[in-house]
Amino acid sequence: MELKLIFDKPKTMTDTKTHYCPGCGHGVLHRIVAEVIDELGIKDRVIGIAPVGCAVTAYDYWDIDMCEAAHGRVAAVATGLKRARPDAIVFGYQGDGDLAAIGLAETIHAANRGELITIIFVNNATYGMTGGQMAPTTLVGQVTKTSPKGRNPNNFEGYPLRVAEMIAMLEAPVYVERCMVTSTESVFNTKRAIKKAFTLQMQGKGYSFVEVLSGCPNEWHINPVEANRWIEEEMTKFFPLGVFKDKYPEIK
Amino acid sequence: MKELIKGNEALAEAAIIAGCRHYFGYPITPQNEITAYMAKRMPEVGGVFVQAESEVASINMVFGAAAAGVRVMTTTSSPGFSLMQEGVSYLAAAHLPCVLANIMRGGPGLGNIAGSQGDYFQAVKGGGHGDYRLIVLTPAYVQEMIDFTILAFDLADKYLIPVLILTDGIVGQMVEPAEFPKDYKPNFYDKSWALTGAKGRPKNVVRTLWLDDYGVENNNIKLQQKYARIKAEFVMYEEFMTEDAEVILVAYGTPARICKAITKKLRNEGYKVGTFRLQSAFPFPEYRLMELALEKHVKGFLVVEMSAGQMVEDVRLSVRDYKPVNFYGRMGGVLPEERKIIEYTLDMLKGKVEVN
Amino acid sequence: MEKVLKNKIIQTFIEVEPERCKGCLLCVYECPEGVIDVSNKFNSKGWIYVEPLFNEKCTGCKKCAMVCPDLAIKVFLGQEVIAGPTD
Repeated sequence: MELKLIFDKPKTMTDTKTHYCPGCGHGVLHRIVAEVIDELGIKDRVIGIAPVGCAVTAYDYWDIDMCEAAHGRVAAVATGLKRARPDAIVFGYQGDGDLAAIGLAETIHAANRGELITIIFVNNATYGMTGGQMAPTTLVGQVTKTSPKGRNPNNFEGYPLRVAEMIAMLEAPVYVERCMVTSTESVFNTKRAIKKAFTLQMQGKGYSFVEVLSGCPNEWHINPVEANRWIEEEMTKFFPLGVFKDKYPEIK
Repeated sequence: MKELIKGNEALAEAAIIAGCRHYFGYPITPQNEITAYMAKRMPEVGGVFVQAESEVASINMVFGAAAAGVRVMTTTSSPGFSLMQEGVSYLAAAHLPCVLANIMRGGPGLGNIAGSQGDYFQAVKGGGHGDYRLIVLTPAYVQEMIDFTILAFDLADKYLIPVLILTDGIVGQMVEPAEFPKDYKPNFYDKSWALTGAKGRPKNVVRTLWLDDYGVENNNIKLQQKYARIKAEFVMYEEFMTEDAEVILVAYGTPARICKAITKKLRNEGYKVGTFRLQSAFPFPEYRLMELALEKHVKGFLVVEMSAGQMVEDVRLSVRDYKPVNFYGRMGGVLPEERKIIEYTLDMLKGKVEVN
Repeated sequence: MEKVLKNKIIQTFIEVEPERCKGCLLCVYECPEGVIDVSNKFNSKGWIYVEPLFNEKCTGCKKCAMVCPDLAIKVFLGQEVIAGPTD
């Protein structure tokens, strides 16, 4: 019997086992990014920037040139990197605290400048690494360490930030999509979105942004399967999936 | 061939000469000439100019470009440099070479836009978190804005460290004759550690976080070894008529120019006065100051700063109690007065130990 | 799963690497054929890992591997040519 492996670790992934909690969306997304890098053949051209948060040690899992950015500054570091290495493919990988709280200014201005970078925004509605605090994307009513009675706008805790829509309102970005990693179908869709984002950067078309709704079972205090269902049923109500901007629909 | 140049613009052109092709800045007086100059000049030399949305962003753009292995600079002034402190700590921790400039203004707070020296502690003792130092050069002349900036890029790459040009707004805004070196060839160092895309080599990682037991300590040991090597290998200062001086004025930047003028004046009146001018604040010329303190002819030192007295502490650390070290300074961007310096110097010459 | 085509036997099955599995069970619920289920064994980290208990039902659709956050699942396709009608 001649055995063929029809699903295996992408070349761009290292063998290191991840530190992520069971069922964490980061794990799936890391593999998706690695598969995209393999398929586009850019493993020796890509430079990744890790955020401060659960994915801070992403360089242990991707076998590519990478650096860490100070909390919230991925978009600025990416700007400097891309301007210095225009032929490299530069992508930032950030959580919601990193991108939408402390790093919102850098995020919006890099997008507004139309930097030739790709930003992957992992929205799991909480600060994972630090133990489950309220994030800018925490839903109204969602209980966290810092919104113990559930996020309450009447208590000046504000509403979840729809970052993809915000970025899509800017002139310069060429591609903005929100997807999720909760099932095979959504994983396929996310991979398509990220592959397109990288392709647009490779063709020098402009700034691309992919927001990914991702499960954080540990901090949501539910099991991984329920977490994915919560994303599909609750999160998508406030964070609708879809393409919010696409200046190059013909490019897949 | 000398030409009349403004300090800020001299610094900017010197960076270009030194091979800097990436500049990330943000508007702040009194250094705006640099950003304006770079916006015009960088495209002419195929370089990159970006005006960032804040100093927090610009210092992190510097981090990205430095991680990619190119010569990169940002310049700012006091409040802006405060915003950059976190980024500077990261640059130092990641052993990334770059050149920074703080054209100091009156502070604290928004302060004013006059020249000042209130950021010495921040620059020399480390304004960001963690044990790190920067090489700090302190130009007082437009010519030194050129020479020190070119030197800074070389030192940064040689020691893999951020190098800070620390001067006051007066030197930045001043116009005086100066000369750019003819056909200067930058000495580009090997940067195989840089992020370029892992083509034909294992991946490079630029990081400052280690969660295992001794990772960060090991990085700190590496940093301290580097600083020891720097202190052993170079320090920069100017001694002006100190050979037989009885009172030595110690200063850097604009106050040092005032002190040198006073030295000449008092020498003409027969008084044995000298000036010791810092050209590097780190490494600090501690041994030379101690040597001078042990000279019999030296009665004492008068430190002159445009601050409440910051560099004076390092002078006292160097001189210990061999000789008295007095201080006279003006804050908030006000220039130290010549007559006051003269008054205190004459008091010390007459043997008065405590002045001011 | 083993299918017999005209002149080929095709076999599809999966393997789980116990040390990579953290027992999140996403694969168990994603698999349309109920191939995987929780084993009663622990790995060195103390996670209860999953096992392909009914590999004969595996169609090689790779859904389990797609949703696995830890690359703990490998999917195999076996082919063997056999003598058969050659029309």
